[in-house]
Amino acid sequence: MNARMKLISTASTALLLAGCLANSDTEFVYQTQTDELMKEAKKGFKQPDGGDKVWGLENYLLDLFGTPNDLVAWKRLPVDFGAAGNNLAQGRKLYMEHCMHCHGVSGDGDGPTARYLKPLPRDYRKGLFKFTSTLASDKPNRDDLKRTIKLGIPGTYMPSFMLLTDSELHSVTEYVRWLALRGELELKLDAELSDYDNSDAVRQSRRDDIAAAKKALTAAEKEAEKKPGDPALKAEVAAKQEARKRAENAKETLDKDVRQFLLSQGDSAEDGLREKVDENADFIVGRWARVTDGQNRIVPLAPRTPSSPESINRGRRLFLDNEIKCLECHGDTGQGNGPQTRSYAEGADKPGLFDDWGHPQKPRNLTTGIYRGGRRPIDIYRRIRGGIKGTKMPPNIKLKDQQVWDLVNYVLSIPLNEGPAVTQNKHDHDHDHDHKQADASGE
Amino acid sequence: MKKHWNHFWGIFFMFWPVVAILSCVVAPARKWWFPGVAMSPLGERIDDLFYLLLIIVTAVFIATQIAMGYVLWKGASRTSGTAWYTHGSHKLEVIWTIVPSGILLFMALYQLDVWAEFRVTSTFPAQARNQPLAEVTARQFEWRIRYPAPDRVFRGHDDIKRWLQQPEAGDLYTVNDFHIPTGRPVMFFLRSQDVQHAFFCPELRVKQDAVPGLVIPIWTEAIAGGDYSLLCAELCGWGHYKMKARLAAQPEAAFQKYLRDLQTSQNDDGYVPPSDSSEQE
Amino acid sequence: MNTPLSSSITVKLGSLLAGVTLLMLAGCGAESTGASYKATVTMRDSAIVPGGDSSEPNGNGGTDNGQTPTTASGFGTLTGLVKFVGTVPVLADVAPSKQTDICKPHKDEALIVNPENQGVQNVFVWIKKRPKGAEATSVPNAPALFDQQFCQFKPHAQLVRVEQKIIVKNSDGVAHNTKASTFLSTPFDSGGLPKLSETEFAYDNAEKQPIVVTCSFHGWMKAWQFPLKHSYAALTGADGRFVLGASPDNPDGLKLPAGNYKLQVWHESAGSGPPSNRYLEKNRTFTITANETTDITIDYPARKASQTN
Repeated sequence: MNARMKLISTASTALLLAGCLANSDTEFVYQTQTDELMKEAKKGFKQPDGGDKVWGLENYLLDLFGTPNDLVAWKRLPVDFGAAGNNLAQGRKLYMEHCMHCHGVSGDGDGPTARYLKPLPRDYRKGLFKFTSTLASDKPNRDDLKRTIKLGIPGTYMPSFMLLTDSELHSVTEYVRWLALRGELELKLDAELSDYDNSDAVRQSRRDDIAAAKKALTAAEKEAEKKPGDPALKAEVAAKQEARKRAENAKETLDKDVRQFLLSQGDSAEDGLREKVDENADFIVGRWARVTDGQNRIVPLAPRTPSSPESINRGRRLFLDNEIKCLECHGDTGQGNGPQTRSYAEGADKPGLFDDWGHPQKPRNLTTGIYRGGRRPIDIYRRIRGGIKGTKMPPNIKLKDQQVWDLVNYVLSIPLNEGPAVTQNKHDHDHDHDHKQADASGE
Repeated sequence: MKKHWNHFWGIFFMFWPVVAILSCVVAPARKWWFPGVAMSPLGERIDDLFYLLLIIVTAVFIATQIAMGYVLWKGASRTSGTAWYTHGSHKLEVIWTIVPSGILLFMALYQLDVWAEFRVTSTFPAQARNQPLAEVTARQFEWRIRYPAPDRVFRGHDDIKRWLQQPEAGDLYTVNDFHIPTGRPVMFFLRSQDVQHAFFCPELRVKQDAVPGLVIPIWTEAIAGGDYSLLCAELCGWGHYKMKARLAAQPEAAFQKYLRDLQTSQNDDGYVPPSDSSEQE
Repeated sequence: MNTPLSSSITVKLGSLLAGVTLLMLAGCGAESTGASYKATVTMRDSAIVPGGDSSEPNGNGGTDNGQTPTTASGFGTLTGLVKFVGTVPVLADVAPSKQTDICKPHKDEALIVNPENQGVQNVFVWIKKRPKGAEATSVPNAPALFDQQFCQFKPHAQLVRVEQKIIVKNSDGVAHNTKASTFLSTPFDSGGLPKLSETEFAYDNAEKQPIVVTCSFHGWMKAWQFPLKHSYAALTGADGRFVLGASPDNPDGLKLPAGNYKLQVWHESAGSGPPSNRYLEKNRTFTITANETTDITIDYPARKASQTN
């Protein structure tokens, strides 16, 4: 071979072999609130006189949860890790194969395929799951998550994983719960460390404070010059100098403060980060453990009223009732085009509703016959009674069971109706009667 | 040395056909073959067709490979002499055009009725055609199934069409779990909710593309009960490889019981009478 | 090239085989990560073990833990005034956009400044932890009342104890839906609250600073609540004054052991965005001397009054 061929073959060999050497370790990503914290709050700091490194938020999370390749099974969590963590390892393997590409390595709903999906995949890290059987303020129990995984969510990109074995389903559910617990602890610690926010907005406001303090001092000094010897004005100048010093030292004070917060342990003037990790872990564990054995489930106290034209009509009247306000979001024909979709929420620059993850949220179009949380009567009952967590669908505990069943019968009948879904309710003269019904194709 | 080198390519190109034949001989024993015997009558006939074609093609293959091997060897053994020109043999050309055409024509005509029975709706067994079993909708990446209510009797083509266009109150829905009764022909409709998929049950020898916008009838008959695979056979996205469902064939009584159980659970209102201490799901 | 035929073929064949082999080897790196990777699992005991230390979890609920006992001699109280400095902005009235037969325009309570002494109402002041040696007050038995009428929350700002029952009332002629957006405690959603009805709840964890309570149907409705695990906090009144730890049963406030403390001062109009960005002052130091009342003045500069809440 001539020299050029030798060069080309060496270069291409090196390129091809590069695949053998590349080893990108997967990592858990941190949430925006964590990223915006001060460096010490995030990563801790090294003590100047040697000694152990003082831990920050990321160190605690790393110690208590590990990385995706080196997991830590923290026994305090209400997760079934299995003997020697086998369950968690199997769950991790299944998750990485089946779930990670949408839900992300950290369960953040931002995996490689997520950008093509609408609605977006669930971000577990708030511990909020939509379709549950538990009370409005409670976490989902295992059965809820298993049901979602097993049956999928029609109308979204979540497919059904019906063919997983029971053991596989159990382990992947535990892994998802584990990711949710990790995300929740991170969020709680972000809230505890919110004093040490270092986002652009906060840094700008510090700069504004300094500028304002300087301005005030100059103004006070000018005043004092006009009347030298006046003790009140002198005191004023002193106060303004004090204020300016405080503003200029704000960053240093904050630096000292955050280090003190990270350092302090146990009985000290202020609880340290370690105590906060402890307290919040307790709190989160308590909330998840509260529902693990089927407690706090929404169970009707009366059997379902059989579906009949009378029941459906009663349900229709309840739906259109101005006090119950279904039509505010779902619209009077149930198409999801109620007035709330056109009004501006406080501080929003776009009209409509937003869910707890900050994404635009359309109220469900009830005419399609697609029921994301399940189409059994009990499922619809639970959506009405317990609301949908993380969304603007509120719970309703004031209606009587019979009324809720009438509503359920009505909701289930909407896609099957041939004609308009509106009855003139004598209290609601200003509703327009849309006699066109959306095309109700099957699943 | 040079002589051996000349024969190298001859041996090389004879080696692989021998490997191919040997692989086919050992294939059934090593399970590199059909997933078991065909579990539907039409499937059996499809298998018969397949074997017929296999025999014809194998015979031709062996004949042509032997001929080629002979030519390669002889040509490599010739150490002297130049190539000679020929205008070919007209007779040979005619023979080896007519004979393969004849074989192909035979194959085309021989399989027509199997093809028709599989594809042409009017040849479907009447009982299956008149009482469709279900509507199977393929979607990325699962199979959604809708059965009519267990006591629903269809009265004619228009009734079926109406059922396909508008879901009814008693319809039963499942996902990734398709049950069919054994021992009688059944027909179901295939749809797609998004992109092209293909309904593929290898054990029943059924394969049909699901085209968005079309409603395609498929019929089959399971000879024996069991859990078969329902796979997707048309690349439909990143999840195509795992778009698998369970196709469970059950005896008629068990199938009817399954439908009624499905109906009960779909109408579950979650109510537990007060005397019960355990929770119902 | 003048190479003989056979060696040229050899070269070509050799490089072909080499290329194919390399291509196949290129996939080798895949096993070190990804789905097939066998992750290791380390079991970690229940207690937190940062740096080798272990500690018992603190108790939760309505009780709080104070700091290390100080050899305090004597107690004192803290009073103060939050004073607006500069030209008081005039906030536009809140104009309801729906159900205007019942919801009438009303004064915006986001910044209420007393014209006589420039005192600012509804400013939250608190210390983070009850100092050990200071009296530990229990959760009041009497529930706190949080009402809404004419599409306005009453009160606009409220201090409560963790686990104290709060009665959420709807004395209005329309249905409401009351939501508390929390960070550290369980969020509360009353669900549909029909007119002239009530429901109740309690915060199950303290917050770091006040949190907002809103109505899903009436976007202009806003109030601020602050659950704490102790009572060493106060809300400024109409005159902008506060007494730390004061309550209807105890107008003189709670006594603190002599020493240095840090006061947090918070008001909804001191910033915009999340509650953590609305502090007037963080860690404002004050000193308590025995048997004396410390009085401090906190300036509320005009520029801090945020118009966009």
